[in-house]
Amino acid sequence: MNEMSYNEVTRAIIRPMGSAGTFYKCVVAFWFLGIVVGGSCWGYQISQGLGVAGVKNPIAWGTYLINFVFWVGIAHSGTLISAILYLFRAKWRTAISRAAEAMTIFAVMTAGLFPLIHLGRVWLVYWILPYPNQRNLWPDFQSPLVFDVIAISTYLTVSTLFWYTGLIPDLAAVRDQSTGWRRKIYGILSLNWMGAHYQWHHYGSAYLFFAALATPLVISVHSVVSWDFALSIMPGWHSTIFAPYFVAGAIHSGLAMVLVLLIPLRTLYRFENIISMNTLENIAKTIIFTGFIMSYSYGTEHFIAWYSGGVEQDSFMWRMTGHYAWEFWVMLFCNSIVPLFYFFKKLRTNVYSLFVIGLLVDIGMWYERFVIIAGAPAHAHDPFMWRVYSPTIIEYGIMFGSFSLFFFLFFLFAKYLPAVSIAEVKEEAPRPLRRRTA
Amino acid sequence: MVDLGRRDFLRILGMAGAATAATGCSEPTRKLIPYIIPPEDIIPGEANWYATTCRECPAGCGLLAKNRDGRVIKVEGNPLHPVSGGKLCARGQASLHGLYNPDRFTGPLKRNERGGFDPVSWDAGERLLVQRLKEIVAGGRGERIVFVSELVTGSMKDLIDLWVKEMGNPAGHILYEPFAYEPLRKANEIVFGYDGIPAYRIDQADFIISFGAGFLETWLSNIEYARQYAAFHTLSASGRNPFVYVGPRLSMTGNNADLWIPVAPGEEYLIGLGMLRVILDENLCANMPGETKNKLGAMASPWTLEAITARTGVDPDLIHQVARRFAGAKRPLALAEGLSLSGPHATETAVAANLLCAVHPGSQAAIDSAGRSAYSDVARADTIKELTEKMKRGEIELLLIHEANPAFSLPLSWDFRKSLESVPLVVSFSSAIDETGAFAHLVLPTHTPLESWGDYSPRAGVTGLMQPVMGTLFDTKHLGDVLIGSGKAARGGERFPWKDFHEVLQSSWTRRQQTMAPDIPFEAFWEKAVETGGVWETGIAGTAGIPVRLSPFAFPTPNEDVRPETGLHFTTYPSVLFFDGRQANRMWLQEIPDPLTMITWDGWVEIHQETAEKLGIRRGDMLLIKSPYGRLEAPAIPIPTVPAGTVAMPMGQGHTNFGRYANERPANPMLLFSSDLDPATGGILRPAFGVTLEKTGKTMSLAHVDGSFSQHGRGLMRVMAFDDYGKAIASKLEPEIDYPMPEGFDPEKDFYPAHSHKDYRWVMIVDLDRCIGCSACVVACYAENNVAVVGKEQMVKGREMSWLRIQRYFDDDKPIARWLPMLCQHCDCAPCESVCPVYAPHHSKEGLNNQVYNRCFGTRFCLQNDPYKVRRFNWFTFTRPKTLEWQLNPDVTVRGKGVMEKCSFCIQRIIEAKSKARNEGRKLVEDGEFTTACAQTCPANVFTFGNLLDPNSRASRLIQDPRAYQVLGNLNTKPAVIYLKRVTKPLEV
Amino acid sequence: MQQSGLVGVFEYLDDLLAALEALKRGKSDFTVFAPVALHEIKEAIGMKTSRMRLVTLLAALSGITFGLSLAVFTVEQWHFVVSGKPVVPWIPFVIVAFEFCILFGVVIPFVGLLIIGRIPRLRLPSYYDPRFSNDRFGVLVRCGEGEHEEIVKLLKEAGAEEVNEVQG
Repeated sequence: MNEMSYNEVTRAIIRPMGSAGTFYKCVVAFWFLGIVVGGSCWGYQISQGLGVAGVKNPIAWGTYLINFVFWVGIAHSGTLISAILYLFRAKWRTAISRAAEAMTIFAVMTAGLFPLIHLGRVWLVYWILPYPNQRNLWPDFQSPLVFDVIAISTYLTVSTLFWYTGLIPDLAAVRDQSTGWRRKIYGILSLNWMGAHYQWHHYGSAYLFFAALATPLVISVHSVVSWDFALSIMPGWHSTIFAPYFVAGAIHSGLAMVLVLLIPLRTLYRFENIISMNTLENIAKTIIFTGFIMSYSYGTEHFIAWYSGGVEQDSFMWRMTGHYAWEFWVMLFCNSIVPLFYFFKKLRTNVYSLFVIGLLVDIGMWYERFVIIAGAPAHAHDPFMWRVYSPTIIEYGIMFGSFSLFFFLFFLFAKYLPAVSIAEVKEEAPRPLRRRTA
Repeated sequence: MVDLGRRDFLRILGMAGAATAATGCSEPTRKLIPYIIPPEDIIPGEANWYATTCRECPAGCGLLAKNRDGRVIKVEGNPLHPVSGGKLCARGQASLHGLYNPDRFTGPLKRNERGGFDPVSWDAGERLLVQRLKEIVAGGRGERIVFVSELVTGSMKDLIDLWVKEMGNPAGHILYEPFAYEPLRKANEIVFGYDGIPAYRIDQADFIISFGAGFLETWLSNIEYARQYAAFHTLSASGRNPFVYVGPRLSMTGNNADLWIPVAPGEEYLIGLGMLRVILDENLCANMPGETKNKLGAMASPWTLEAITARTGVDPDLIHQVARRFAGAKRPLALAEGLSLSGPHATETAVAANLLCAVHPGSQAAIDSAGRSAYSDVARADTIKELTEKMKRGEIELLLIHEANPAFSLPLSWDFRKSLESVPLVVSFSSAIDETGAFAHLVLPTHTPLESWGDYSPRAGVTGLMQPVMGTLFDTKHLGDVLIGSGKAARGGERFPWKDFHEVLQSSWTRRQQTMAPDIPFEAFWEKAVETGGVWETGIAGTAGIPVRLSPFAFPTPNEDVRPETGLHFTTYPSVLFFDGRQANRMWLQEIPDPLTMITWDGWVEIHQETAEKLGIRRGDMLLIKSPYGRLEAPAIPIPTVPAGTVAMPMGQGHTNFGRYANERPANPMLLFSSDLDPATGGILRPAFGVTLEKTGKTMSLAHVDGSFSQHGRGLMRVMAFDDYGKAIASKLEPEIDYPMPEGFDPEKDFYPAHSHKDYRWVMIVDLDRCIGCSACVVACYAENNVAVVGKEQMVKGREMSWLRIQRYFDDDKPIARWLPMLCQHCDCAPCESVCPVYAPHHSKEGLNNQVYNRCFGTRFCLQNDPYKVRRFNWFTFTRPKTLEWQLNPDVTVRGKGVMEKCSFCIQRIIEAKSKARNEGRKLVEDGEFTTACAQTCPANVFTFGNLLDPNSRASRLIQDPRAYQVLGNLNTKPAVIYLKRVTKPLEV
Repeated sequence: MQQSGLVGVFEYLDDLLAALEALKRGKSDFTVFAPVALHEIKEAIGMKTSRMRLVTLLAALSGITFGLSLAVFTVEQWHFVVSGKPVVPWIPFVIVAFEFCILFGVVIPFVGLLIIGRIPRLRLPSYYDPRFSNDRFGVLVRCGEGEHEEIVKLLKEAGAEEVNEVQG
């Protein structure tokens, strides 16, 4: 671990904050433009109807649900790193937990948009909320979609609070390092935290409990998402392995996304000595592990399909050989084969290979959701209703918008909030002792 | 003018004792119910039903039109009518779109210098016509006036005949029908000495062999024959009457046969001759007069069975079998299409069929010479040819056209269009633009049949009355009134003493009353007729039969009848949806898939997969098809409905000027026909020719709705061998179904306990053995439930809205299609329900799977979890152009974008029936008191809708049938739509 | 006589700990400020386990109750049969209960943390020194005027860089 003094830590982490360069401004402007593009596409769709997307009978869920699942998946690794690894006292998480959690929150926000985008009459979406009303109309708590709403909103709330709790002492630090109106703003954000011993005391135990609760939550959220499909009776969907399979997939894609985000950040902010190569290597190793879980899940899925025969078998044969075969094999290659390259020390200690492989895994995971969500209904029970789906320009526009939104938020975060947890890094840092220095 | 029209319309109705149809008024833009004096028998919100006659084709079915607050919103078959018997075909259901056609003329038009049309007043228009008439008549050139109309009979025919006679051309009225059946008429003359076309009593036959006669689609009177066929082919434990089909294409009718004998176009007659030979050689029909026998022998002589087999490739044993079955039957019937379109030798085929009937006394008994079809009087093609020549030579000065479209339906090589141009004045009385009307100098649009008084007699002994079922929509006039008016003006009032056509009609019906019922007063007779929709002898048990009066006829010898050396065999067939093309402008008919190809919105060329493979043709490839007489472009569809080496094309598409829905859709097969006449029959000559196919390199995205030809052994559509059926009946086998009721729940496989229903458990029984694939139910559903039409572009994208669809699967081993009507199954454990976050779909106390449109916000989860894929999502707000929306059923919500919809079991009808029962103090609705739109119109009675809680309902009885099964029953959704397996009974001797 | 306080600023942890030892002996009331949570300090002060435990437990339980009752209440309002299930099919509600358990179990303790941790506060007190969030430790000792000298002495001996007098 690093040998920096408290002061060096504070300086190093706060240094990149504030003052935005032209390059940064351009990038943020670009992402903002992307958001505008996505927004206009959505507006057009609302005015015309969902027909502007490629969805049809019987493939009624297209890229919107694909992206929903994709982003929820991305979110998961954040909580994994910040909560689960925290419980396991995995020291290497310290340097990346903050950024990973931020990624979680932004990914959940982005994901949360898609169920709305995909609605036929989005202006009535509040009907899904259990709000008291005179007509006594309530949502149906048996519907997996209502599970989704509760799970996702809980997830967003919890991870936001968890993240913010972690931020409070750092905000105080930033406050004390800045002057003028910045000082005011960070002061308000930090709730004027003082770092008094009783504060640290309760803070510590609260943080621990949050971690403890976030851990089952993160497992449940993607299980619930998987039940949108597993609870149906469609071949290729109603499979009991879906919950663990989706959770593993989520973490698989999430960790990959962490690499994709942190490696550039690390270089730009010169965090090399905070986010050490050892940390990245650990992530890579975890990706190998999740990759194996994915391969196992694919294997099980196809074996069970083959074993149960009939429609089930047919549907999976078609998945491998039919209209979406190309997508299927991309998925398999990127999710199961590519991570194996991390077995080579050279490749998992080189930022470039780390980055590229991470990118490939994320592409693979997107295609996995495509194969499941577009592929299964395209070839279900009634051969008369076998059809194929392909996205339209509007859908691509909205998809681009979603990526823009995510990166836009992340860039703002990286510029205006401490991207690494100051307090936690200090915990890892050597104690300032007179005996030793003297 | 318009107001006057409305007032005397009211008065006429008063006379008819049906004052109600007034409410539509001739000004559609008015407030909802613009009464000044409300007619007494109108209750807002309650429908009135008017009996009239369908004029979509010459079959002349009886109609009941449902008038709701002044607008006709639905037509159904008139149960009292002997032709329709309460049923209607797809085209009949779509007759509303003739009335509400958005491309209708809204008033008279006059051609301007630039070739366009300018609106003119009726006075101006009629003045122009009269002035011209006067000149011609004064000049003594009356024979240069010709009136071409569709097939009309009775008062209208008399009036037109009189009118042209008065103008000086007694033969000036030409009844034009593209399907004139000249070969059939000729054959009847040759074999039976019968001038015309008799009524065939399929219901009385016990064996049918059809030589290309598509009597379930368009042939003569398809609804009447479909109903008779249903009776003929009904399944019983003892057996079922066999039906053999001989033809070049597996038509919808042929697909219902127990045996299809594929032959090259024009070689059907050889099978007939073969059978004849067998019957004569084996002397299967004894007690036949010797000289008849000799005559027949002589006729059949040129073709030995070997020669026939050599030519047609049909197994002689098969011919033997069929012949024996024919001879062995009590009342076998041999039918021939008798149109020169499908292939060469139509006359030979018809004669051969008639000869088969001639050798069997039973057959003659199954043909009713007394029921002479109105088709018998249709002008033969040679008359039209003659007219065309005259027009070319400028010998026609005034051509009047009413609802006839020869410019479209005649072979292009006739140059009918060109000859039209050399007529100085062409007047069209048609209600909408068509290819012929496009050449008119003056358009005087007349009422559509649903707005008109009139009568029509499809066959001797049946006369249907037509009454206006709502007020006129536009500034149109009754053709009769125009003729009377112009007649008076041109020839003086004494020649045309009537005030209007209604008077003509009544006077002719007065005569009818004097002959038919002299003892009852006319008023009573008339009102009865208007109420019941016409007059006819009821309950015809037997038939007049038909005597054999054989005239000499020589079949071509093997050397004369030679196949064309080059090219593929070509056959064309009347479309079940578009008839000869006159219905191609009906959006419903364009939108629903063809029963066999499952293609919508376009024409096509059917080509056998092997042939296609050889030529490297794939689905949707645009082909250039060349015959010796013409060429056309159409998209290909490789499909097993044609044997290798034959290509088939439907008629009816390929319009160039027939309104927004019909225009520019490939393709009109008449472009490939010769311009010559068949001297023997006076019909269009159909020489044996081959066609060549060339790929143009272009492709067309065909809007077909089928995802697969095969059902991949998933047993969705099930068949049962007859023997197994017999065994099942004998052993009182219980069908394997999960009752959509508490009985259907079983702790073994059901996690949750059963739930009960209150008063009703609505179910639908679908008898696949009866389904003929005609799709009438689909159109009825569109009409009843305001189902949106999405158009080709969306169809290609897979956004069809049909609540009820006819799924078609081909058998994997043999070329035969199976139809499976698919609609919401109203499952007792419906997968679609629990996934909805807002309860939009849920299970009603009566077992219905309700879909609450207002509550739905469009997550589409229900569709995703619906294994039957019968739910339909509104991808856009689908709208209807002006006037078509007046057909909407006010009892059914019109759905907007973002909402899921599906079959509701016609819940509006259920509710209507329940409130009726309540008003009458009955606790429950009786079985059969009402039914759904699809069940109502089905000519074969495939659907039975009923209450399963009533142990005596027909549904409760039918569900006991050993054939009963549920589609995808293995999913344990407990569907409330119970299917009865189709039974196969191979032909054996 | 009004209370005032002394703030000792320490650079080194061991100095701080020494000071704390002394102060504890002196039974005086003090508050420690640190840029980071260090168990050494906790032990030196000897705090008992936080109340957050109990709060979290109760919160989680209330979440379960709320989730279940909400689900049951709403289905009873409709009383619909869907997918052939009884009106109250308990199984799906497990998920509802679980999610609400987590939601309450985090939101309520967070509020609790704010209350117990006496945040947010409008302005920082005068005795707070910005360095406490960076690299310095601080001890605020509240005492009467009289004890000043000895406290200052004590802190200085322990190794405080500076000792400042503050009001409030």
